[in-house]
Amino acid sequence: MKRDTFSPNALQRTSLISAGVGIVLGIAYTILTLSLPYAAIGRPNAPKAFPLALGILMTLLSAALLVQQVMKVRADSAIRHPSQEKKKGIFPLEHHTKQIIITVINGVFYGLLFSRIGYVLSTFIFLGGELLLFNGKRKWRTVLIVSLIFSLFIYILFNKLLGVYLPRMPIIGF
Amino acid sequence: MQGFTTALQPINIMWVTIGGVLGTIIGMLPGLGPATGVAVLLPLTFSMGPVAALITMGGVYYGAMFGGSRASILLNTPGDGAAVAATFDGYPMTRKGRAEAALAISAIASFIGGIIATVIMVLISVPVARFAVKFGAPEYFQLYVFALAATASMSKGNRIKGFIAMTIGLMIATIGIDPQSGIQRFTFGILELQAGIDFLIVIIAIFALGEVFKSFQNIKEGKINVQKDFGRIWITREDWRRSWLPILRSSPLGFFIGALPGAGGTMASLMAYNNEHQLSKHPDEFGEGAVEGLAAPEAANNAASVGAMIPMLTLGIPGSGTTAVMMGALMILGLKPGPLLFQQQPVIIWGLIASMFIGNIILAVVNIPLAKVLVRVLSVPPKVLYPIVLGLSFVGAYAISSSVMDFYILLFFGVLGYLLAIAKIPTSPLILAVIVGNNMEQSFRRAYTISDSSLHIFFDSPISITLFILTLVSIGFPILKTVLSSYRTRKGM
Repeated sequence: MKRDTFSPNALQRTSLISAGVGIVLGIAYTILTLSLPYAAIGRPNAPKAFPLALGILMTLLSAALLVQQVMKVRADSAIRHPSQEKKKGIFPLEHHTKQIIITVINGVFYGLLFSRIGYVLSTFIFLGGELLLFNGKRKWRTVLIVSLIFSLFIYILFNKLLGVYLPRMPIIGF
Repeated sequence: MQGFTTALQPINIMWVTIGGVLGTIIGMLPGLGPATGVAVLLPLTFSMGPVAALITMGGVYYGAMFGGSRASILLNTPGDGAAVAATFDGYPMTRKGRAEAALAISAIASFIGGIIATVIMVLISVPVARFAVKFGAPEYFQLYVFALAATASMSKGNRIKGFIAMTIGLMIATIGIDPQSGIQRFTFGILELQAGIDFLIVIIAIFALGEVFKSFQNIKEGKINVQKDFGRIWITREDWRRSWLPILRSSPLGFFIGALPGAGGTMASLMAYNNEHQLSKHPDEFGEGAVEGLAAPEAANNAASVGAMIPMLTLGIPGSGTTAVMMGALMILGLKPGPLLFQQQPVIIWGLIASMFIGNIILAVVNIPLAKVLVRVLSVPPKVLYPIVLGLSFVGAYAISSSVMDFYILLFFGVLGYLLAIAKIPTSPLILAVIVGNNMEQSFRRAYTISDSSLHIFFDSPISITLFILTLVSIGFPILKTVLSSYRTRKGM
């Protein structure tokens, strides 16, 4: 009995997803390009030409990737037993993924607070958050010291010694 | 020759040394390599004059490469792709108790490789620059196409993915106000995007943030056990006897590979390793601690990084990630890399070259006795170091652009870099595309306008035709190889 199984391994799965994302991206980009305004100076279509070519290229390349991966999976599945692969979900939210997401959120807050409360304070919060994330509450002394020293050190280094402007705290002005 | 007087000023020597030490420290951190080091430390150079800035950066560049080798030899964790070959024989040497010799030969080989490469560079850069002046818009377009195609085609792994990376990079490059027509493209109404996305931010995001994100998976390893007590760091006469010829052979090889777009330190060091393996009288020792197996890739590696500067300085096309960052720095300093730079600002170029000589010497000197001290950095837990690198990246980004918007762009591309790494999509075609994308499009349009809307201008001059053929070869050759090899396996040969 010939069973036509389709069981990609992890890398093939990510490649298939990437190909799919790529196709969507290519089509979206092409549509956006077509809705760009015509140029008032020079040839009206000029600004669209290059992006249009890119959008089409992206879609074609992603489709090619999709086809390539599908063919690979078919070839592999014929040889391999599908039960060898332990199927997790497509997005197992592993520990390090959560850390990345938290870091990104931390970074967004960093950006939001940056100009408002000044470099030293916002960096202290950001770095403290990151260090806490990785070192846990027990190491709070390390976290505190490193964040403080880093924020102050970099501030003094850049602001005073190197002449690069960094935002100051609102009232204290440091 | 004025360059030497500039470079030899005490203050500049100090900068080279500081840059070198910092670069070495960052280069030693696993997962972060010279590109990250230069990207993160770059903003420190902003308030210095252009010469001092370049000199410091040269120091960082070199330092990071020396540092990357330390990690490879002592910990089997290469700092970047180019240091991988150093793990083949370097780490076994450490395990055999020969860490001192390994560190020494790595420093010596890198030093000689760098000097030879710098000499070659001095000899050929002016003629190349003169040749480059002949490049007009059509030639530049063909050149960019070639560089991108070669980089995408030769990237590790799946070639389609390489081209997809290139296309993504080009799409990123189109964001902003189109210079020739003034209309906004893909800015989504965000003011800060009108100037486009600075490629330096993309580089910092992918090389620093992306790498740190990738390391989150392995960050559990608390303290790393590093050999801290070293004997005298030097090599035996026998080591030298076996190594000097491989070093001399690998240096020019490394230089020329480094100068090619699409190939860099990684390819250079691997090729040198393979080369010496085949030529060696002790082939069985390779992989077990053969000293020439370490010397060759180290020499090639340094030579390649010097070689990579040639296309960057003369044509404005960076030959590697690190040179891309240096190019960004040059542009921020107001110097536009290209043949005109040689004509208009020779002092700066020669200052840079001279500082490379001097940097080489200083770092070799510094690294040998200081290895013990520097290695202590490796025992700082990564859980503390990596957040610091994140902090440095944000500061660096702000120093470049003074815009908080770039924090978000940094995060976005950092995550993108991480996702690309998971999907095994190579990042170098993407970065090169972001850098040259704008110039590429503008050269095309300019050439097209000059030629009155006909395409034959792209095939008019011998340079253009040669580049076009090279492009076809770089795309076609690997395809040909795969087709031929699968044909052979099917025929059961």
